[in-house]
Amino acid sequence: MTTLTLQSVGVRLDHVTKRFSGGVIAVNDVNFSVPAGQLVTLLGPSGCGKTTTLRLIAGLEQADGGTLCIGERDVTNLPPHERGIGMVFQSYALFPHLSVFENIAYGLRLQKHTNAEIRESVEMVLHLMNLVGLDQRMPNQLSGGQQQRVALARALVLKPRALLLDEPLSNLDAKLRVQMRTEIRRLQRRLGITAVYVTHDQSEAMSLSDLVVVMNQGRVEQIGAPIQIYGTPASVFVADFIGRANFIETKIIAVENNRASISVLGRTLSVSCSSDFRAGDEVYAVLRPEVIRLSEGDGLARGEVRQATYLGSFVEYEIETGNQTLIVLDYEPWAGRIFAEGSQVAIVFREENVHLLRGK
Amino acid sequence: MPQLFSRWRRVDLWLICAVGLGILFVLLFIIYPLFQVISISVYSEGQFTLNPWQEMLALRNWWVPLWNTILLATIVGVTSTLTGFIFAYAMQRVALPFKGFLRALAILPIITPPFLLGLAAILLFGRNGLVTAGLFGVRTSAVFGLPGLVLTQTLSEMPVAFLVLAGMLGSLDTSLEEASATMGASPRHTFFRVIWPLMRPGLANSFLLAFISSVADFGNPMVIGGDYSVLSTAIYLRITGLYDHPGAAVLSVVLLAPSLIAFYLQSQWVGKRSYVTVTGKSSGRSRPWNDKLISGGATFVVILWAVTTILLYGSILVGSFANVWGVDYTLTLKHYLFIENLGLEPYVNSLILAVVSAPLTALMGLLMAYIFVRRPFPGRWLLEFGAMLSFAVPGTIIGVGYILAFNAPPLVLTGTATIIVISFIFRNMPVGIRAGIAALSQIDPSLEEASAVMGARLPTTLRRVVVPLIIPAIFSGLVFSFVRAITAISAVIFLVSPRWKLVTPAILAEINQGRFGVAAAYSTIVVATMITAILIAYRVSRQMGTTLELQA
Ligand SMILES: Nc1ncnc2c1ncn2[C@@H]1O[C@H](COP(=O)(O)OP(=O)(O)OP(=O)(O)O)[C@@H](O)[C@H]1O
Ligand SMILES: [Mg+2]
Repeated sequence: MTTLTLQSVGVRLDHVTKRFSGGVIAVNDVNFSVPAGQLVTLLGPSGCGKTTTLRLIAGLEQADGGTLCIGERDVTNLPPHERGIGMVFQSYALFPHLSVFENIAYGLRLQKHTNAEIRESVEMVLHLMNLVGLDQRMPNQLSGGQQQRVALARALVLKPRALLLDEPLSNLDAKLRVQMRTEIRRLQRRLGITAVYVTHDQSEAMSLSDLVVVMNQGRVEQIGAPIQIYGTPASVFVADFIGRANFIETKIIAVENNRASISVLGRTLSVSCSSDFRAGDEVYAVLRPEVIRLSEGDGLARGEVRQATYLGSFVEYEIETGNQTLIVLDYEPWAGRIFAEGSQVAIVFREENVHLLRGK
Repeated sequence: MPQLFSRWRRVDLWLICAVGLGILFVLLFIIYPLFQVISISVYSEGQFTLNPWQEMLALRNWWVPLWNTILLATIVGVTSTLTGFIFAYAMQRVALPFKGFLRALAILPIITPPFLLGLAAILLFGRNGLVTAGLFGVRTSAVFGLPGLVLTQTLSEMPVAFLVLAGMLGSLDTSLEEASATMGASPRHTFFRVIWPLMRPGLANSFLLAFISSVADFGNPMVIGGDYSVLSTAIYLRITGLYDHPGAAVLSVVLLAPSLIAFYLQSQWVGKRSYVTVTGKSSGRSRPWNDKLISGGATFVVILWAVTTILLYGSILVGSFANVWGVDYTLTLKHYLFIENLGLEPYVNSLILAVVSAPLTALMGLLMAYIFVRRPFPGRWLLEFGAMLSFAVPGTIIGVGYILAFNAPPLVLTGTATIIVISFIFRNMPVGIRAGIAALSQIDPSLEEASAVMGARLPTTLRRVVVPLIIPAIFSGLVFSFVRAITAISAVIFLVSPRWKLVTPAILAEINQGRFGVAAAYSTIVVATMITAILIAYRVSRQMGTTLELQA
């Protein structure tokens, strides 16, 4: 028996709030749901309340308001040991006085299994996590990556209804981090685990998630698939935090059929927008740096190359046009096509790549 | 560069002098007296002899003091570790009111002579005790002996255990407890399967520290020991009652054994951090899902402890104003007037000698610490050994050693203030060493280098970088050397003389003569002095922008 069958369930947060003494509102009226079997990342800058949100789900902190459901059960007032979740800590939190085997068996022993059952389950996850042969080691005799696997194995062996991970890869070096995140994703898909994954690394969030919850100052800024978060950010904060963006301040001239006419770089463009925009609204036209192309021929506008930085797989330009400085990333650089600083270039982009956000 | 070179040469010269001086002092005031004690037990009139040993073994019940000492120390090791652990757990994991007050209350036994608890226990539970006779109407001497000793020593060792264990509990990664909870463990299971096993080294350490302290304790056995004879008091009685120096030496050697064994185990357990400074910082938080039974039990123990402590110290305060304790509680100042008539000399002497010895202790500690921290040096082991002995050897043995070593030429010091100050310095040196190590290890050599690179000359570097970093730790070393000098009893009781009386032996004498009111008045003055001193020290250290580190 080498597979683990899990009864994964969804997780739902309804108007959850957490205040700390000292007046900090770490989590402020947060709502989101994690569909069963999906991986949701909580992404945001340091101190935005990701860890606190996760700890609220685990029951390690008690919410000051709102309700928390795991599956159909309202767990808002349940202590952590009755919530049936698994958690992987940033520091791994392996018990230093117990061997790898006993660390993994810890929760099983509480469930009054026979020794044979425990041995079988532990061996199964040792297999699953590539830890065979390490079961008699003590945690301090393991490498960082191995400790990470043990922490994961220890959580999985209990067949949690949902798995919570708090920056589980932040103590690993860059290469191992990429390898482990692929592994975690594969495992999560294969076992169909409901997972809430905290990270402040956007590439981790992008590569892992079914859904990303972007948080800022205790609030949810946007919830969406990685492609939505990146392509159609819901706020200036999200656009700025995820990847890089050019913000061009402008005003809507007219709105018709969910398309707005705006004036950008001296041209009038028609871009799609949501229905709540009105003529006269102050808006930002958001342009990702890689959707802009530079050319020697004609374009929407002309500009001067202020700075060109060659970075191997791409070239980063700073282009001055009118009173605006644009960042442009060219992912197809070759020697003949790198524009020199001071040269005049045409700026080209497609209307459908312009995303509108409400201004201040 | 040239500046750096000349600087290092000067430091090295200074270091050689320092090591030489340190070794001389250690040989003279630690090793030599101990050697005298051992030699007099096997050497008489120029000949090797086992007579003193045979005489002792010939006594019926010769083993009783040894057995009593070890039994008491074992019990107190367990009880004080347990209460210390419960206290530490309650302070860090349970929501309790008045934590600041409780913390302050826990410090009292550290800054007051421990045998005051003995006196207080007599006042509460003795023949005329407020609780025994007053409340329940029983006249009993049951508190004298093992029960009283266990009570008083537990209360006086608990703060040390608390400091050690609170430090350890605070450094425990809380995510271990949380991980346990997320795997379905109840708080109780987590307590017994995660916290307790992880605390075991700290518990063992605290047990051994309490054991060592109990073995060395002299004051409480004198006050409340009754017929329960322990080695430290047996040694004292042999010298003062029977003038039997070889016999006292034999008992001293016997007493040395459990102390050194316990100390050896303790230093092995704590490893290289045998001079670790413990701070009673509380970093933990109470948890919303704490186990009711455990937190309730801990709260109960803490309340019981607090009430007992308040009652004990309170009885001394009240006792100092009561006309005749147990008979007539009308308030009077007669005990204070009695002391005033007798003269405040012992009290003043204690203050003077403590004030004189504190900076010397701190300096000596700094010197030793410098040698320990900065570089290995031939002869360093001797210094470390000496420092270790000064911590591990009970004061009673040091007292015996000093009267044997410095009663006759070449060095006659008995009866002088010098010998008392010297005993303070070498008894309290571990406190100074700890402070010194703490101070020096804070100074990364690169700080001095950075200052030099930025163009500061050595005097400037010292003034602007080194001294500000050292001062707080030296200050706390200073404060606790002072405290320990005032509260010391076991060694100095052999060294006081008609010219140089000290306050702790004076209190002891009053207790032994049954003048509890006078003893209580004296004690109240001492406690008030110590509290004032500590409050001033806290203020001063706050103004220096640091916190006073409690040193156990
Ligand atoms: N126990 C606590 N007491 C008081 N304030 C706290 C506590 N824990 C967290 N906070 C505060 O709550 C806010 C959110 O903290 P949280 O740990 O959730 O941030 P985070 O998003 O996980 O940040 P990081 O990426 O740095 O881990 C912060 O301002 C933090 O200072
Ligand atoms: Mg965090």
